[in-house]
Amino acid sequence: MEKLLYLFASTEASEEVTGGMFGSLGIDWKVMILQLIAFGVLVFVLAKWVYPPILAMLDRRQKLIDDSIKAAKKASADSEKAAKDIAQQLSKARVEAEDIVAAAHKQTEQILVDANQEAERRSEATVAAARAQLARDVETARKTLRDETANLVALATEKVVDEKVDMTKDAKLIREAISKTEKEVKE
Amino acid sequence: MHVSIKAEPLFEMFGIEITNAILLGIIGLGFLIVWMIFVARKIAQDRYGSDKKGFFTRLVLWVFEGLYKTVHETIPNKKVARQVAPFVITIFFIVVIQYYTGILPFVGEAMTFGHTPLFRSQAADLNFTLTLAIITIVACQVWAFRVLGFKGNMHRYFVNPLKDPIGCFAGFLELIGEFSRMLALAMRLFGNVFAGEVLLVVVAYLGSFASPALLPFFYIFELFIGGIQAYVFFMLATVFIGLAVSHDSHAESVHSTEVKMVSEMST
Repeated sequence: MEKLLYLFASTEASEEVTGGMFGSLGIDWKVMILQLIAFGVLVFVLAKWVYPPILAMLDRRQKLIDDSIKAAKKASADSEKAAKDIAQQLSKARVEAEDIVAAAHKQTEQILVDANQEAERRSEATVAAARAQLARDVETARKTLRDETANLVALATEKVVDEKVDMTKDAKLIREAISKTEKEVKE
Repeated sequence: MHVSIKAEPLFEMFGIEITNAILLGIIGLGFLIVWMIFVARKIAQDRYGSDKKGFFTRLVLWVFEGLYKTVHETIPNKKVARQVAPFVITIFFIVVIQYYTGILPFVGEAMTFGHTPLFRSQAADLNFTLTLAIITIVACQVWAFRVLGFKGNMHRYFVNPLKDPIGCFAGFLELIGEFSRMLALAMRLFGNVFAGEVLLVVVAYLGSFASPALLPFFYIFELFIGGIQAYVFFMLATVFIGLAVSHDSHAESVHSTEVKMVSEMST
């Protein structure tokens, strides 16, 4: 270690110092001019042949990135528009469907009402026809009964009075008596 | 163990002493130019942006893109930022290459020419760092003159003391600041690289037989510091130019935070 320190200490002392501070630091204007030329050549070569293709490539890449971003933005806007269109069409379709369903309901109700009315009308007609038939039957039965009763009464009276009365005359008398009785009853 | 604060001369050519730093600097510069042209060719061939690029091509692209964005974020003026970017990005690449070539295993005492090491990191030579710093500060002035005009730029330093005494003093400080910035840029990079090299040598000597196990950690540390130092130099150059072309109070505050951040990183 001591030897090392000694070496360090002796380095500067053993240097041949010429030309003051610049000389001791090794600064030489001729070398500096050489450095200046070398740097100038380097800048010239790089700026002329190396940087332009690199810059062109960077510009191209930047353009590509910008274009891609633009395309992506456009695509996203398009998809948003499409989604909006779809939503709009869906809502429109839903409204139409609701209208159709409502119309169908209405129609069904109308059909039901019509059917009910028709059924009622038919049943009423049937009932009326049946009633009329019944009334006719009753009338016929009544008439038959009346005739038979008159005959029976004539026969019975003939038997009772034992007197042969003209059949036709009797019957006329009896019918008059019955209708009188009926009138009295009705009254 | 041999530690020299300055680059040592190997031979003389056209009246210029060729030092070991210049020798490695030429290798680093040549490597950087060849690599960059290779990358540019790869990119030019690949017009459609496929992913069939090699690791080093992608590394350069990644670094370039990051630095380019930083320049645009730091300098709001788009036109100036586009002009400044090649200059400051070149500073980053040359600094990082010169730093990394300096920690290659054959640099230093491993290969000697006579008694002096054959190679020395270019960034551990004040000539290189000082030249870069001078170029940066001169570039600041050039852009300041172009954007603010002669009068506008001069007004940053010279204010009428009768009208605005405080502004006059601030302008004087600004003038001194330009020189101190230049020195700080040069000394910071030089100090870091030189200290890094000395650290590696000291670890190698002190570690003795254990040094092969110890050195990799310090190499990784040096790689990290190299990237940081190159980024600091790049960032400061960008900030100085940005400040020079947009001279107002807002830029001043942005600048001071940036400088604070960068100086914290560098220490």
